[in-house]
Amino acid sequence: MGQITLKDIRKSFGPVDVLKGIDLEIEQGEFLVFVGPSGCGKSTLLRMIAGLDKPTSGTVEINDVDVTQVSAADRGLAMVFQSYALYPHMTVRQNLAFGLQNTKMPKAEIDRRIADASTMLEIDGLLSRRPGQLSGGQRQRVAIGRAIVRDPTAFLLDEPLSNLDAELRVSMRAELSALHDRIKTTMIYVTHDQVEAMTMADRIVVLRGGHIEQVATPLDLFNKPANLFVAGFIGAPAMNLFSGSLENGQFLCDGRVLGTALRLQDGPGTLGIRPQHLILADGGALSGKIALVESLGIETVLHVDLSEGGNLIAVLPGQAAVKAGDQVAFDIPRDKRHLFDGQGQRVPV
Amino acid sequence: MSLANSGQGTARRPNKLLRNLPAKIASIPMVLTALVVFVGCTLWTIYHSFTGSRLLPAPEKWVGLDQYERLWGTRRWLVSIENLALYGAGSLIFSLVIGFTLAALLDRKIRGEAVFRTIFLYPFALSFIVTGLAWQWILNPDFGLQSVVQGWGWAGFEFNPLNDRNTVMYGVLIAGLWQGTGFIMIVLLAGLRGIDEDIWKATRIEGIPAWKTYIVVIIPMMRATFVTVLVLIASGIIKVYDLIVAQTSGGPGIASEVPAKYVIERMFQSQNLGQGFAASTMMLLSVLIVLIPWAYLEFGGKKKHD
Amino acid sequence: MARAVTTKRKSINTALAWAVGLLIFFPILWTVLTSFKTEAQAIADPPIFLGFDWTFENYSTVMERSNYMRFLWNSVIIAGGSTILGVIIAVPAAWSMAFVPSKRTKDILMWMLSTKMLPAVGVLYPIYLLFIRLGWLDSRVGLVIVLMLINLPIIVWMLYTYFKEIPGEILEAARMDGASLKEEILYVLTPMAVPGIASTLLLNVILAWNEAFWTLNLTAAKAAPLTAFIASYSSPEGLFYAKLSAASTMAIAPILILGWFSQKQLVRGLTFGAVK
Repeated sequence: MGQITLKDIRKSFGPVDVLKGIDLEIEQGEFLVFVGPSGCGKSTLLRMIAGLDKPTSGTVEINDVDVTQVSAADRGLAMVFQSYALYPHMTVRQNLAFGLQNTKMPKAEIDRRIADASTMLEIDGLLSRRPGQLSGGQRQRVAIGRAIVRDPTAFLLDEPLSNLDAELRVSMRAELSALHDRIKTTMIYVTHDQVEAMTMADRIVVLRGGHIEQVATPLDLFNKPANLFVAGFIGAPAMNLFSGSLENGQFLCDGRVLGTALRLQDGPGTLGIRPQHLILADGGALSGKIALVESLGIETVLHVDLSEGGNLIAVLPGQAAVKAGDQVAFDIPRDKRHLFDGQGQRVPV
Repeated sequence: MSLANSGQGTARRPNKLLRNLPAKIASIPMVLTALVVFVGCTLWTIYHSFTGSRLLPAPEKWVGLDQYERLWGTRRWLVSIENLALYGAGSLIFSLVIGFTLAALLDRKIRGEAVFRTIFLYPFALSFIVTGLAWQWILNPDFGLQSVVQGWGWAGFEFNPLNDRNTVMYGVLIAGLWQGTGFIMIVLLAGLRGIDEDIWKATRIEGIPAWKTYIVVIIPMMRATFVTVLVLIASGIIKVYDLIVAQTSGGPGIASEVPAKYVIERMFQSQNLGQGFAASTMMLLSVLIVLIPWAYLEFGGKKKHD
Repeated sequence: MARAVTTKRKSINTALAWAVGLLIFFPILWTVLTSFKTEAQAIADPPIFLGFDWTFENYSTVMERSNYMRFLWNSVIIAGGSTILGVIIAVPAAWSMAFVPSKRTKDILMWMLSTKMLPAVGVLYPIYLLFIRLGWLDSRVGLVIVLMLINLPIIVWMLYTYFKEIPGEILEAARMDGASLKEEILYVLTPMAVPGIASTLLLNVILAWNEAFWTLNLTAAKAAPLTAFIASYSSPEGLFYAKLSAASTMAIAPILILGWFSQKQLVRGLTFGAVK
C-alpha cells in the first residue's frame, strides 16, 4: 500500500506563502513527478510529505491515516536526497543497515535485505567502502539502496540525478524506471528537468508559485496543456504563442488570420503551436525571414523574424535546405493548434 | 531571538517547538556567563574608576574624573601607551606582511609541508612566559645572538635592543612576532587554499604576473580571512602583558612598560585601585573606539542586504 | 590547492621555507640544548652549540628545588578541566546555533567573540574580589572556571563552525531512516563532529596551558601551574640560564609532544577547520 492524499496543504515562511493550497491524490504504485521552475514549492511539498517540514495548515494522509503530526522517522517513507546525504563515517553496508537497525530488525533479515538490494543495484562489491571512496554514480546507487532496503510505503526523490553528468543521468533515468517497474512502490520524484519528468512519470504535477497548474500523464500534458504556463513550460523548444483576438470564429494576430472556423466566443486569446508542428509552405499564414539556423543533424531549428513583427521557432525534420536570410512561410495544421482564452486557460478548439 | 522563532513556531507547532526549546535552553548558560562576567564586571570597574579607592574598593568615595586627570599626568602611563601603540603598529604591519609572504610561499607547494606547518605553529604553542625568557636570553649581548655573530668573526656586530630604552620595544616586538606570526600565516594559508584554482588559471591566461594577482585579485577575495586575522592580532596586542613580564619586567627603567602591567601594578602593588580602574577603563575605551565603528560597518552593512 | 610551479622554483621555495623554518625553530632548539649544559657552559662567550658535556644536573636541581610534579599536575587539571567544562557548556549552545539558527544567532556569536577583544584587566579586579569571597583564590577550581569563561567564546565559535560544516540533509536522512533525536545525535551527529571536537579540545588545552595573565594574578603557591613555575625562575634567579632552560623545557615539553603527535588536529584546530 502506498496511497498518499494531500488536503489543502499550505505553507508560509514568515510573510512568504510558499504553498497556497495543494490538493492531490497519489495512487498506490504510481510514479509521480513534481516539476516546475525553481521556487515553485515542489521541494517544500516533498518535505511536507516526508515530514521534514510541517504544513501551516492542511493534512497529509498515508493510506487514509492522517500523519500530519507524525514525525519523519515514523512515517515509513524513504528519501533520496540531491546531495545523497550518505553518512560519511559509515561504510556502505552500515549506511544501508542504519535505517533497519533503528527498527530493531533481526540481523539475519538486515543482511538478507542488504544482499538483495546491493545485488539489484550492483553495489555488492562496494559494501565495505566508505562514501568518500565512491564515484558520484556509485554514491547515487547507495543512496537509492538505502531507501530500497527499508521497503518503504513510498520513495521520495529530491532531484536525485542533478549531481550526475549528462551521460550517467540518462542511464540512471532508465534504471530508476526499471526499478519502479520491478518493485512497484509509489515513487514521488522532484525535478526541474522536464525531460526527466516526461520520460519517467506515470503522472506529472506541474507546480508554479505554490499552486498546482496541471496534473496529467506526460502525453496529455504535451498534447493538452491546461493553460499558457504549462504550454510554455513543457516541450523544448517552447511552444510558439501568439496573443490576439477571436472575432467571428477567426483568430487574429497583428492583422493576420492565424486560424479559421473556430466555434468560440469572441474576445482576447492566445494561439499556440509547437515548433515541431509548423509546416513549411509557400503562402502560409506565418511568413518571415530566417535569422538563425541550428542544424542538429536529425532536425533543423529555425529562428524566424516574422514580417508583421515578433518571431517564432520552427523545428523541421532532417537537414532542411535553408539558410539565414531566406524568406520562409509556415502553415499551422488545424489539429495541432492550441487555443487559450483571455485568462490563459485552454479552450477546446 | 524569540520574535524570529515565534512566527514559525506557531506554524510548525509541537514538533518544532520541542526541537527549539532545548536549543534555547542550551544557549542560556553561555549567554548568561558572557553577560554577567564580561559586561557586569566591566561596568563594575568603570563605576569604581570614578572613586578614590585605594587598598579596597570604596564606592562611596566619589571623586569624579580625578583619577583620569592623575592618570594622564603620569609619565609611566604615557610611556605605556606609547609602547603599546608602537608594539601594536609593529605587530599589525609585520604579522600581516611576513605572515602573508610566508603563506604565499607555502601555498606554492613545498616539500614536507605538514612538518613545516607544525614547526611554524610551535612558537604559538609556547606561552608568552617561555617566549619572553627565551628571547631575553637570545638577545642578551654577552652570550646571545650578538656574541654568536661576533664569534663568527664579525667583531663589529652589535645587536643589543633590550638594554637600550630606545630600542627595547623592538626587542619585545621580535619575540612577539616570533610567537604569533606562524599562527597568522596558517590562518592566511587556509584562506589562500580556499581560493578557486580557476582564478589562478584565468589570471595566468590573461598574463597577469603572480605578485600582481595577489594584490589585485587574491587579497580582495580574502576579505573574511583578513577580518579574522585582524581580530586575532588586535586581541593579541591588547593582551600583551606576560611577554613583558618575562622578557624585560618593564625595563630598562620604565622604557618597556605597557598599560596592562600598569593596571596590575596599581591594583596589587601600589594599593591604588582607583588608578588601576581608571587605566583599565581607558584601555576599554580605546578598544571600543576601534570596535564600534567596525561592528557598525560589519553589521550595519549586512542588515541592508537582507 | 597548490599552484602549479616548475621543479626548479619548487626547490628554491622549499629551501627558502626550510631556512625560515629553521630560524623559527632555533630558539626552541637552543633552549632545549642549553638545559643540558652546565651553568658555565650556558653563558660561555662565544656560546657552545653542540660540543659540550651533556648533563642532566639542571633537571635534577630544578626537580629538587621546586615541586615540578605539583606544577605539572596543576597545569594538567587547570588546562584539562577548563577545556572539558567549556566544551560541555559549549556543545549544546553551538549545536543549537548551527542547527536551529535564529535571526540573532550571528549577532550573538560576533558579540561573544568580540568580548575576546576587551582588555582582561577590566574584569580582573571584580573577579579577584569574587574569588576572595568564594574562597577560590589560589585554588584550581577557581582557575578552571576563569579559564573556561575566558576561552568559552572561542570554543563556541569553533564548535559552531564545525557543526555548520555538517550538511543538514544528512541529519534529515537520519530522520527519514527512522532515527530518534537521541539516535540522530549519538550515531550520526557526534561521530561526524568528533574531529572538530578533538581539534577544539586540543587548541583550548594549549591556550589554557599557556595562560599566564590569570594564573599569575590569581594564584600564589598552591594552585600555580607551569607558567607560574617558569616565571618564578625568571626574576630572582635570572642568571641561572641552564636551570631556567631546564624548567622551560619541562614546561613546554608536554605541549610540544602533544602538538607533534596531533599535527593534523592542531592545524585544523588553529585554523578553525579551514585547512583540511
